[in-house]
Amino acid sequence: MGLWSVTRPFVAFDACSVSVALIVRRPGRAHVEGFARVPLEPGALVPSPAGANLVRPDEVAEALARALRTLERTPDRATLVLPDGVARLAPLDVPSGAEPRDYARFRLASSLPWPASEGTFEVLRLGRRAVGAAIRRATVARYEQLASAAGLSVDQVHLAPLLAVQGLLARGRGRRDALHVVLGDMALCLVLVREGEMLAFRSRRRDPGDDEARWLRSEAERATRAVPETNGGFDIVVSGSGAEELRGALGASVLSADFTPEGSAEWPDAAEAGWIVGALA
Amino acid sequence: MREQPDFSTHPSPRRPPVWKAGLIIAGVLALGLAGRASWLERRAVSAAREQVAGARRQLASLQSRLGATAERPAAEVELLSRASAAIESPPERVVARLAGALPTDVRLDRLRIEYGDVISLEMQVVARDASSWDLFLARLVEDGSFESVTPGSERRDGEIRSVVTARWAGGAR
Repeated sequence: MGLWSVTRPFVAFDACSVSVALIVRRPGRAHVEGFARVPLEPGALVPSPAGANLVRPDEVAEALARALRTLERTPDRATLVLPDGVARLAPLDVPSGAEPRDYARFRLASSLPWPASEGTFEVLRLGRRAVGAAIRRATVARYEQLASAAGLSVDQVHLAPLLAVQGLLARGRGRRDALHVVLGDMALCLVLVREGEMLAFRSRRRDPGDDEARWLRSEAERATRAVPETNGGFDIVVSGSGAEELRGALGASVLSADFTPEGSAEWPDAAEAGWIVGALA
Repeated sequence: MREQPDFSTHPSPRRPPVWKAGLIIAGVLALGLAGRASWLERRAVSAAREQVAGARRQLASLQSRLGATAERPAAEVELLSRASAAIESPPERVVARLAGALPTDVRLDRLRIEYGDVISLEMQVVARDASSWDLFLARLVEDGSFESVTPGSERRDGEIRSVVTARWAGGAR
């Protein structure tokens, strides 16, 4: 680590893989210095708001250990990135004077599959709008324990979809309106962005198969009709897990993520991980 | 970068970025330097106070010595006065001033300088003629270094030999 640079290790979990990234941040820029992704057998990790998540923790721990060994420098601490699907997410317009966390609790509590007292409520402020998130503490603790068992001290715990949204907004200024489809292994987010401002946000579980493309197309049309300021004209940008297949199914008009994280050229998987863009923002 | 929500079950205070740490270090250094400057300033003030106290002690000592001097015998006081006058107006200074006032046709055969409360001069003067004699007296008066210039008796036919007395005024001009 140089005087003016900070290396921040990230460990991201999802249903199909465990990824580790070393993000080096210097004043004014950040880049990926190392990346490793180890696939998981289906069913070893099942992201869900209330379920066990780490169904076969030994397999996930082994995948994490292998990913760490792949890096040239093995970190002793990390920021965890939990997958889309573990949290309840909702767009919020936090009233002036309201405490954002309390407002998120008020809005999300009734829709949670567990008592609100067992959860952590947080808010990502995005200009005039915000995204509220609720996670069960026990779920977070299991991921933290897994990281600790691998010899990692946990700095912070982030959510992959919130990191991705942050990255999209940071890069969205001065660009054409776009509906971003951020794919996780088990869930996805739709984010309508204009000039760095989030106009709409939606999160739902994925339904892989032929119907997913059709559903996404109709969802995109519905989203644009719901936001009249777009005048119906915007790009659809698909990124994340399985983006290439989905882009093929959606048609030629759909764009891929037009941003390659600096330093990620030798790791195509890193370029497709939406949370990395947020980690670099 | 917007602040990402932290969902950790044991949130720890975030380590500040390097530039923030740098600012903190700079602040601590500035505080340290300010403290050192303040300490040096206090030490200087303390030293100055010591000097003032020393000067006051010295002044008190001088004043007491002055008081003692006032009580000394008159002869001793006179001696001191003479010594002081000799130091302030040494003979060579008086002679140099006189030499400046002498016209070419006038010479000093004898000079006596007496130091006391005042510096008295007695000059045995030989002038070639009356005009040189007059010129010498005029120069003595105009010089400003001499006062109470009193010529002795004189004969104005031919060479003049006379005694002139005067008091040394300090050669202010």
